[in-house]
Order: sequence, then structure tokens, then C-alpha cells
Amino acid sequence: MDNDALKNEFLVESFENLSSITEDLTTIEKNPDDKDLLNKIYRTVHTMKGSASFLGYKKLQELTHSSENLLDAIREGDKKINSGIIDTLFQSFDICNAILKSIEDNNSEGDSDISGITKVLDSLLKEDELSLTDADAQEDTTDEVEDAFDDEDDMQDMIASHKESSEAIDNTREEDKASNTDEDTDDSISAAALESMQELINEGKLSQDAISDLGGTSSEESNETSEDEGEFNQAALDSLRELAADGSIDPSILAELEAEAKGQAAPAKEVKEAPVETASVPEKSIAEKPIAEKPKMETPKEPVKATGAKAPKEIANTSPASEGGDDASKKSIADSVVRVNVNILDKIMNTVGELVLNRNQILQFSNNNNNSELSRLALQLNTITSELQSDVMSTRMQPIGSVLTKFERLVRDFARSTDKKIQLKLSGQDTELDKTLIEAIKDPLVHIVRNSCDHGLEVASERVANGKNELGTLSIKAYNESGQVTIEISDDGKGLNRARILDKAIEKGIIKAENASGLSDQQVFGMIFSPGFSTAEKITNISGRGVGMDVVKTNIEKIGGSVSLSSKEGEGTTFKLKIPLTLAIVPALIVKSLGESFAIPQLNLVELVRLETDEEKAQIVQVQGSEFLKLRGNLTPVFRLNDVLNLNEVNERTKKLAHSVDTSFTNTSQKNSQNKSTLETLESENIAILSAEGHDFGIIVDEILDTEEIVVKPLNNAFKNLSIFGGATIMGDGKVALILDALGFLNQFSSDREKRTEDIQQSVETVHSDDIGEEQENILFRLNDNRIYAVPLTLVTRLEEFSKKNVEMTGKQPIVRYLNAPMPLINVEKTLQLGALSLLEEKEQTQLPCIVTTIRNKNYGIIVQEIMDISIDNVQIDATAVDREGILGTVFIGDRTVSLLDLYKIIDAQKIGIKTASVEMKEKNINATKRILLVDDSAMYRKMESDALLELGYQVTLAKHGEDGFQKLESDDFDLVVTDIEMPILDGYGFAEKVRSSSETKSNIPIVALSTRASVQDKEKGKAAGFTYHLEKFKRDEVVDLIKSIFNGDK
Amino acid sequence: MEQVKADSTLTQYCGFKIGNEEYGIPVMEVQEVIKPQVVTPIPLASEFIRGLINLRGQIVSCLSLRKLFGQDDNLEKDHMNIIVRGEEGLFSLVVDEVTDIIDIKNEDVEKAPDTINPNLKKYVDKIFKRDNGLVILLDIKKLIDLKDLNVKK
Repeated sequence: MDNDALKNEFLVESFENLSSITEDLTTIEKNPDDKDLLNKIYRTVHTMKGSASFLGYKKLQELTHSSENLLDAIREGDKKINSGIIDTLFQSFDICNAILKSIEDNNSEGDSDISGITKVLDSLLKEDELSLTDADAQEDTTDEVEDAFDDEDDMQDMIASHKESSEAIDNTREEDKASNTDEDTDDSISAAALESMQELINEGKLSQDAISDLGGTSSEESNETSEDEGEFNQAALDSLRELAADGSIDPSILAELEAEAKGQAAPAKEVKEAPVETASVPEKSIAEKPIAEKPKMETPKEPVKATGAKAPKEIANTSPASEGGDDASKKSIADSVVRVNVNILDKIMNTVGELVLNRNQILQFSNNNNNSELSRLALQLNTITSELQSDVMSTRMQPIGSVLTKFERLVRDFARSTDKKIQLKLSGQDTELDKTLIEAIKDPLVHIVRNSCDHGLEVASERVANGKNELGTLSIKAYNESGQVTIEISDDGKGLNRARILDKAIEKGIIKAENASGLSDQQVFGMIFSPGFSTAEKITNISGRGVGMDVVKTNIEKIGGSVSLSSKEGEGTTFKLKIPLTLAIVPALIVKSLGESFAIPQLNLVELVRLETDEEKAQIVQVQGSEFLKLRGNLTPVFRLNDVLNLNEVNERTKKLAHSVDTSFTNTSQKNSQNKSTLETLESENIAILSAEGHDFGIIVDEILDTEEIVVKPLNNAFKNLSIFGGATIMGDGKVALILDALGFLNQFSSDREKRTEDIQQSVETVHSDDIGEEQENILFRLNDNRIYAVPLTLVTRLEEFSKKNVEMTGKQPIVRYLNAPMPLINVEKTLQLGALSLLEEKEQTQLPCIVTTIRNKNYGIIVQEIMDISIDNVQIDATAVDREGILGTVFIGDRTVSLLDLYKIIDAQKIGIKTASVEMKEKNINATKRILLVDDSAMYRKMESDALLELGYQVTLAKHGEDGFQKLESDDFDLVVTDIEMPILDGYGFAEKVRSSSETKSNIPIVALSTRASVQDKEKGKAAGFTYHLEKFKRDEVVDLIKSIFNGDK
Repeated sequence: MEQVKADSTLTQYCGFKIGNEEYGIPVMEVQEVIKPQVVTPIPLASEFIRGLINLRGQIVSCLSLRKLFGQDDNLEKDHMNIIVRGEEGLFSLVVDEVTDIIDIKNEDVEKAPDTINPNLKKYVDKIFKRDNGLVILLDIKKLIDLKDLNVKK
């Protein structure tokens, strides 16, 4: 693990834990019955073990594991606390300390050997009686050890290190000994250690006699020694004796060690005599430790330093003692870090939030005041506040690695408990996130990871069978992207099974079977986030309880994030979480509607759309009583904030309230902006497109103001039902503004509208599949951009040519007299912005060829460059390439590509004559109660016809062919059926027959047939089949008039 | 009227008026009394929720007691805000006017009669009779009880 931040955090935590353990151990020794304290120690050790294993510190893990086992036994009451145990524990923690220091300094656990101490610990666990005996034997020294303990930390270190060395010797002797540590280093140290031991013996510093005496393990003698020397740590020896008795170490080693311990505790002068000779040996530096630590002894530090310098670096560093001498000035990591309660941070954050608000107010005030000094100070305040804000935010930022590394364990355990082989790849652990957010994403992440392991990755055999590496890979990537943190969890497993998800979704009633085929993969996969959804056939203890993914989604969304997933069958699944960096202060767009400000978090904002001209405004269309914005070929639902929030009514109240408000507080600007905004409404439509849960929708507001950093303040719980508001904030002017929550908004207003959009969208998308060609006559002509266009011949009244000098202007509208009435001339090039001038604008042109068309009983002249031909073709209209209103689609006539014009749209766009929009609201409302079933196989005509009907306010339901129509008619109530004749599956005749022969009352419903076949014979055939009326297709006005008269009861 | 307790300790009430009626809430519950503020209405909330005000950086929800008691809001007239602290944050009780601090002996308060205005009943704790009329003592907790503040659809 090369992650510094993580490592540091681990070190800080572990050093702290160690010191608290030390404290607690001494206490527990006095009160062995303090269960709570014991549990606390146990937990602390457990935590350390956990952290160490996450970070891959094996020795530390092993050591803490043994200590933990021992503590567990004590905790369970299987063992009684005695000094021996406590001492051994102390030693093991001292070694931990040494390892930690080594990690801190050179990022490795060093060469300390821990097998000895773990053995002691393990033996303590097993050998009940022995430890008890020892406890008795040691009772006399216990107090002393305890008293001396504080001063003797270093001594303990030292002895522990000794033990390490001696154990290392032991190691070399027992070569078959299983050990996690690197054997090469072990060998090298032990060789060195052995050498040094030998050296010491040879030098006569330790007498062989003494060794054998001590080897006889006389506790009396040990006690004596301890008392004599005053500094000698009895405990270490005791533990060693246990070991010896236990047979796990060679008594001769113990003998050597005890002797050495004695020697080293003895007056330092011996050591002083030959400091240089032994300098390269680790034992040496340890031996010198007391010298370095006790200036009283007047031993200069130089020898120690020399030792450090001469000793091979890695060896020098294994010993904490030498480190202490070596680098005394260097501060431990624990010293440069302060732990702060999160509550305090929260409080600071809140205060800074207040400051930010205050700054906003001061800035606004200074902007309105022409005082240069004030604005200078305000700017300064601005800078400082921003800096403070970002600093405080950074205190709350934590690397996401602290969460991610936990998955190492999770995945490992999972893999071991199943037949799966899984490797976890982490990247971007240093990506930072606000602490509260880290907490919040923990559980969702665990769930996703479990899911991927459980459902995603296959068992090894299956992987091999599928030609994959049997080792499955789960990778978690975290990175910063556009002001958010993205976390990707991907597996290379079997991917999501569309069919199974659909089956499940249908079974659980999430969708209806008949809708299933039309759904995109994205929509299908999204269903796994539905409550109560789980495709796992077998419920395992890991996942598959069906409570997971929806909770994941809700939790992520709660913190303003989003979840998406992509999957490829057989290749794997990727979950993508997007998390905001922080929650407390967010950038937001401020919008105004009827004088009220609302904040929209930037996170939800997709784009801003402004519709200025009437043509642009025509991009807002009414479908079934709801408004949609045509945006790049998609229908996006739009909501007028004023309407959905009832702002008019609300505003009335506020205005009255403002009366009683202290005038100094009532800012007149509010009223001004109100007037202004009303004006703006007339001028243009401002739409903020928001996105929530992958759905886009627009909010039409009066005014779009600026982006501001807002401090999110939660709303009182009393308003929690009002999910459209995500909170409130205080604006620069001191007024409270509500924060619009995109998701809540969507849920509150658009659930049913959303569905309708999908239906409509779907029918548009399926254009090509079920479109069968129909014989149709078109008139072909060129416009001035030299491309060929067509309009259906049925719409053409006459072909005319006008002299340019007869053209007059009304305003900007060119007109000619035609049949004793003024007729507007339509400049199609300009209307469609084709980038070419029309003939009208070309000076040398004297004659204007025109197609005269009659639309809504008015004549219009379409100026063209040249009228070419009439084609009778079985044309297929392709609407995919349409980039603007006014073109219905492209057709291939002969080998030419021809654009088919939508004359209705073109004429509507002229803002002349009777406009569709001017249909009386009253009439519309009456019409809204009428439901029409429109059956046509061609998506384009379906759209054309439904547009015409929707314009009048009717409710229109679409069907793609006779059979579809019949089903819809059966399942729903309609007042009228409008149908095409040539259709696949069931044609218009068959459809009418089927309707008429059905037993229900619906069999009497009027049916209007529209067809290009409207000859007398056709009409007779239709009448026989059951058509009430039979009209020629494309005669929109006739159709509309007919329908109106049907509903008015005229016919 | 039965006497509830023979308790002569004084409790101070903050008196206020809505219409011609005088009401009281324990002074200890009141944080402060402030004059009318700019109110940000909460669209779609119940009509007795007047909106939000900014009290020195804290957001306070305003309840119109008039509306809560089933009377029409007298929007043109002056009003006062009594700020009280509930478990869920600060509330402002919008009243017509704040009268005075009334010292009432605990033994002098009486149970509210059953005939009291039903709109009011659930908020009334006790009543206090004095020479120039009744003071209706309200139970703050019930007044700002979240279940009752539930928003309309």
C-alpha cells in the first residue's frame, strides 16, 4: 500500500491505540474484573489488527492477532489475568510500536521478528497452569515493574528487541519453521545477531557460568537481579522462561539472552569500552540505548550516532532504540496531527456557512453603494472568506481509500467462502470526499461490492468454461470529475441478464409484459433499483434479499448523488456512483418566478434554454394537456414554475403581507423585478433543464439570475412532505429562498407525464419498423438552395406565377392579390433558415413561381424557384434526418433525395392568419373531454394528424395498426376513431369490421377513415366495412372540420 | 370549575391577541418577539404556514395562528412574530399583537370548558379568568406538533 495519507492515518490511529492500550493494561492489572475495560482493550487490538491487515502489514497483523486471541480468552473467562499475561501483552505491544515506527520511517515493517512473541502469546493461551505458576512467582516483582514501567518503556523496547534477535537465532536453527517474514532478511539478521552474541561471549562480557546459572531458571535469582539492577525487566525474562519450559525455545538461547540482558543492564562502562568494535551489530545499538537515554551517565551521544551511521540502514531501523538516538529531533507523525471531534468541525462549518452568507450580503450591499473603500474591503472579505471556506472544507475531506481498502477484506472473505476467485483492484484511494459523505456511501458501496461478487462474478469453473481467466476481477475506481467524485465499481463477470430482469420485473408487477419489448437496455437495467427486486434465484447470506439496490439508490440520492449502471452480457457490469464533494455549501443557480427566488443546485442543472421568438416558442408543444419542449429531437416535459407552485395565489398573500413589513426591510427592488419579470415573460421563455434519475425536464421561470454559493439549510421537518424543496438558503439580500430539489420536483409533478413522454417518444422511435409505404402523389419543386422539395399534391390548390411588381408588403409580410383577396407569400428559405435567399429577395427576378395552397380556408403562396414534376410513388418517409420544424422527412424519389415539407408548420411559423394557438381556450377545454383513437401505421402521419387534433385540445391515443387499435379500443373509452386504411397486420377495413361486429356498445363508435384511396369504389367498400366517414388523407382542414362537426352533433 | 392544583407558584405567560381573544403561552418557551419580517412563502404548504423568515441567519418557519384557529388571515393589519423553539427548530407564531407578560398563579388556572371553539380546542392547555376577560393558555407542544403541520397535497 503506497498510499501515504492512508498510512499516516493508520499510524496516527495505531500510535494512539497503543498508548491507550498501555494505559488500560496497567489499569486492568489492578482491576482484573473490569470487563468493560477488557472489552475496550480487546476492541482496540482488534481495530489495530483490522487496519494492519487492510494495509497489508503482515507482522503487525500476526502479532495483534495473537494478542487478540489471548485477550479474547481472558474476556471469555477462560483465562485469568495475571502479571505474566500483562507483561507479555506489554511486550507484544512494544514490538508493535517498533514496527509502527519502522513503517513511519521507511514504509516497511522492518526486520523485527515476531515469531517469538507470538509463540509466547500462543503458549500463554494454551498453558494454563504454567502461567498461573508464573504469576505466583512473579507476584513480588509485579508492583515494581508497574512502578518502573513509565520510565521503562524504552527498556522494554530494548528487551523486546533482544528477544527478537535471539528468536532470530532460533529461526535460523529451525529452518523449516513456518514464517510470514522474509527469510532472507531473517537470516541476515540472525546471522549478525548470532555473531554478536558470540562476540559478546568471547569478549568475556558474559561469563559462561552466568549463562548456565541463569539457564537454570531460578526465579529467585532473577528477582534478585531485577532488584539489584533496578532497571532490569523481569517480565521479559519470565516470559522467556515460560517459553523455555514449554520447550518452544532452546534453553541455551534463553540462557544467552538472560545473560545478555543482565550484562546490558549492568553498568554501561563495559559497553563504553568497545563501542566502535561492535558498532555494526544491532545488539550494540540496543546495548547503548540506556546510555543515550540517560544523559546522567555522561555517555556522549556520538557513539550511538556512529553506530547508526555505520550500521546498515535497514538494521539500524529495526531497532526503535537506535531510532530514538538517531533521529531524536524528528517529530513523530502522531505529534503533527490533532484529532478533532467531528461535531466541532461541523460547528465550524456552520459558522463558516454563516460567514459566507454574510459575505454575500456585504458584497451585494457594496455593489449597490459607490463607496470605493467599502468595495475594496468587501472584496478582501470575499477573498478571505473563500479561502477560509475551502480550508474548512478540506478539514472535512478524507481520502476515500479509508472506505475502499475495507473491501480487500470483504472480497477476500467472500471469495474464500465460495468457489470464486476474486482479485480486487483499487485505484484513486486518495480521492477526497467530505467525511459525512464518506460515511454515507459506505453501506451502499458495500452492497454494490457484495452484489458484484455474488451475482456478477461467476465461480471459477464457470469462468474457465466461458474462456475467461478463472480469477475474476473486481475493480473500484474513484476519481474527480466535473466537481463531483465518481466511483466506478466494475466486475468482469457475467453481466446482467436482460431477459431475467424483465421476467422478474413483470412477475413483480414493476412493468407490464406488453411494454417489455419497447424498453431500452438502460431502462431494463434500471429496474434492479426498484424496491423489492432481486433476480438471485438463491438467496444467499450475502446478497439477494431484495432490499438492496433500491436502498443503495435512495441513499446515494439522499446525499445528492446518482447511481447508474451499464452492463454487457458475458462481459461484466459497471456501477457508477456520482457523489457531490460536499453538501454544506453548494453552487446553485438562482431563478425567479413572480418575484420569488429559488435556488437550483448546479448538480441537477443540465442546461439553460431561452426561447425568444415565436418560432422558438413553438418548440413548446402541448401534448395531452401537458407542455413539452422539443429539444434536439426529444420531447422534454416542461413545467411552468408559476403554475405548478401556484405562485400567483402565493404572491397575492405575500404582497399583502409586505404591507405590514418594516419599510426598511422591504426592498423595492423586489417589486421592480416583479414588474420586470412579468415583462420578460412576454418576451421570452426561460427554461432551466434539470436532470434527476436520468430524466430530463424543464422548469419555465420568469428570470434566470446568477450562480451563487449557497448554504443549504434544512427545512423544518414539518415540510418534509414537500419533497420539491430540498431546503432553504439565505440570499444576499437577507431573504430566504427555497431550494428546488430536482428529484422531488420530478416525483411530485411528472410521474404520469413522464410515462406519457415515453409512450410518445417510443411511437416516434418505432417509425421505421412498421412503416409501410403508401402510394402518394407529391409535387416536386426546387427552392433557391437548389435542393428538391416536395409537398403532397392533395394540399396544392393551384400552381401560379406572380409578377414581382404585384407584390406588396404588409409590415414585413409580402402579399399579392389573388382571387380578390390578399394572399400572403411564404418565403420558405427564410422560414426554414435554409441559408439561401428566396426569389423574392433577388433583385433581377421579375416572376415568382408559386404553389398556392389552401390551409384552414386561407390561401397561401409558397414561393419556389422552379416547379419540377409530380411524382406518384410508393414512398417511404424517413424522419430520422430531420433537423428542423417544417420538414416532415425525406423520401427517395427515383434516385433523388427529396425533403417533404410540412406546410402547416411552415405557415404557422409565419405568425399570420388564423393561428393554431388562437383556438379558444374555452373550446379547447370542451374538446379536452373528447377522446380520439388515431390508428395509422405511418409514424409521420400519426404525428401530423395527432398534432392537428391536439391543437384543438382533444385527447389523442395512438395505435399502429388495426389490431393495436382494436385492443386499445377494447381497453379504453373513446368518442371517435380515426383510421388509415392501408396498414399491416389488420387494415382499416378489417379493423372497422371487427369493431362493428364486436358485441360491445363500442361497436357504434363513429369511425373516420382517412386514405389516399378515396374513389367512389373505395368509399363503397369502406361503407360496407363500417366506416362512418371516408375522407382523403392530407386534407387536414376537412378532417378537422369533420371532427368538430361530429362532436358538435352537426352530423 | 374544579381546581387543578393548590399551587401558588407564579408562572409567567406571554400574552397576545388574535382578534378580540387574548391568549398566553409560557414565557419560558418564548425566545423573543420580533416585528414583521420579509416572509418567503412556501408554495404548496398548508395555508397556515405563512412561510420562512431569516432570523439572524437561522431559518424560522412561520405559523399563522389565525389560520390555525380557523380564522381568516388579516393580511393588511400589523402583526407580530413570537419566536419559540421547538424540537424541530425555530417557529414563529404570527399573532395580531403582543400584549403583556401576565403573572398567573398555578392554582388560578382552570381546565378549558368543553364548549370551547373546536378549532382551538386541541391547542388549549388551560384557561385563566381575570376581571377583564379570559386568557386562553396554549400548549406550545401541541401548537407546533408536526403531525398537525402536515402539508396539504
